[in-house]
Amino acid sequence: MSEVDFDRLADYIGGALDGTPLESEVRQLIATESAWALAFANLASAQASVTSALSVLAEVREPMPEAVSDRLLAALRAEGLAADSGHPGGTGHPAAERAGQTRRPDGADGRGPAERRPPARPRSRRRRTTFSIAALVVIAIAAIASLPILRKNAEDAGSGGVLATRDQLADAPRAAPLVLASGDEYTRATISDQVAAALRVNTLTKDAQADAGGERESSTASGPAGGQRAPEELRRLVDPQALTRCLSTIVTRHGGSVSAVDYARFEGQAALIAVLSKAPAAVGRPLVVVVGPSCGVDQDFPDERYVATG
Amino acid sequence: MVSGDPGVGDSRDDAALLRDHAAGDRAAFGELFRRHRDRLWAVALRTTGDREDAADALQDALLSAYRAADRFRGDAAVTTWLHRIVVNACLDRLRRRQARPTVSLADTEPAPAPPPDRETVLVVRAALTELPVDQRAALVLVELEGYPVAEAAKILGVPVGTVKSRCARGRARLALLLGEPRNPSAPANVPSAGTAHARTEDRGE
Repeated sequence: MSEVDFDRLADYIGGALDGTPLESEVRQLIATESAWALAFANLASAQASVTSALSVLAEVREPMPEAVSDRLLAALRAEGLAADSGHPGGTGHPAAERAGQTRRPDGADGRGPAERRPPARPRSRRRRTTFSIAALVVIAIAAIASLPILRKNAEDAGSGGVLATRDQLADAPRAAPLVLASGDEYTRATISDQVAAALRVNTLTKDAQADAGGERESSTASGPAGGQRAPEELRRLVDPQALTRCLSTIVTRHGGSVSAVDYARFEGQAALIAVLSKAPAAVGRPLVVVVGPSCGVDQDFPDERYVATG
Repeated sequence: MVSGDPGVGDSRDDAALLRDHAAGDRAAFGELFRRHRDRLWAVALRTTGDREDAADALQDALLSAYRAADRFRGDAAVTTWLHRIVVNACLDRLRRRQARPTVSLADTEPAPAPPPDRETVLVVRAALTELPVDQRAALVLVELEGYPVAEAAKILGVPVGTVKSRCARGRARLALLLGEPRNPSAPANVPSAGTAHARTEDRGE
C-alpha cells in the first residue's frame, strides 16, 4: 500500500492533474487503496467547507482608506501626475460617478463599498456552514423532486455508459425519489431487510406506480421521513448540485433510476444509501448502492462502498 | 483589448487612458487610479495581510506602472497588467521580509453594512496569512476576487495548471488551519488531512 501524497491528492481534487497521466494514477489509487479513498473523502469534504468559508470572506469589501489614497496620489504627483487628478470627486459628483460605473467585461468594476458586489465567480458558492442539516436536506428534496429522472437505457446497460437521450429524459415521468435522513446504521447482513422495511414504512410502491405510468407519490413533500439525523460528513451531499452529480454517477454505473436515498451510516462510516429500481443487475428487485461522502466529486467516481440487491 | 469603465466626465477606456498617459497626458493615470483603486487595494491587502505592507506594495506598484506605461503592449487587459504589477510587488515585499505578516484590524474604517459573519471573516483572514505566499496570492485572485483561473494565471505569470495546484493546495492547508475534523470512523492508522500539514511543510513552497 502506498503512502498517501496529500499534495498530489489536493491537486487531483482541484483539477490540476486533469488530462495528465497522474490523474489516472491518483484515480486508481483512490479506487483500490482504502487509505487513499479515506483521505480523498476527508479532503474533499474539508475543501468544500473551506470554499464556503472563503465565500464569506469574499463578500466583505473594504474600500481604499482615504489616507492611503492621499499618500499614493502624493507619490504619483511627485512623478508628474496632475494636481487635481485621481480624486473621486475630480471629474464629477462622487455619487454620480459611482452610479455611472457598470460592470466591466474583465470583471473589475471598481464599485464602491455601498454595493456588496458578489465576486465574479465561475461556479456557485456553497452556502454558509451555519445551515442546519435538516434545512439543507429539505432543500435537497425540493431540488431532486424537480429534476427529471436520470435513466440509463436498459438496453445500453452493457455498453459501458450511455445516458438516455434528451427526448427520452423529457418523456420520462417526473417522480420524486424518497429522501430519508435516518442516520441509521446499515450492515452487510441487514441492509436488504432494512431497505425493504424503510420503503414499507414510507408507503412507497415504486414499481407499481412506475408501471402505471403515473407520478410517484412521495411522503416527503414536507420533509424527510424517518428523522433528520444525517451524519455531518454527508453535508456536502445535501447540496442539490452535489447530490445530483453523485446520483448521476451511480446511475451511469448501474442503470435504472433512483427511487430512494437515505443519509445514514454503513458499518460505522457515513454513507448515502441509494436504492435503484429497474437496474439491470437486479431484475424485479431494487438494487441498493452504498456510497461515501465523496460521491460525485469526480464524475467517474461514485465513491462506492457496497452493492446489494434488495 | 478594449477594457475600462469610464467614469462621469471621462469616456476613455483604460487602454486609451494608458496610451494618453504614455503620450504625456498628466491627468490620465489619475483617472485609472480613481477607477481601480478599491480593487487594487483589496488585492494588495488580502495578499499581504497587512495594511502597511499593502500600502507600501501599492505605492511601489503604481509608481512602476506610471513609469513603465509606454512598455504596455496591449496583449492583456490594462487591469490584468495593473494587477500583475501589484501582486508581484506584494509577493516581492513578502519574500524580502520572510516574516509572518499580521492582520491589523484596529484601524478598519467602518463599513456601511456589517459583514455577514464577523467571526468567520476574522478566522479565515488570519488563516490566509499563514499560507505560503504563492498559494495565498492564487487563492486571493481566484476565490476572493473572483478572477477566472485563466485570468489569474496571466496576472501571476504562471500556467493555468500551476494556479489550480496552488489554489488546491492552499485550500487543503486552510482546511488544516481552520480545523476541519477528520472522519471519526477512520481507523487510527489512516492519515487524515492533518498529516498533510507536516508533509507540505517539509516540501516547502
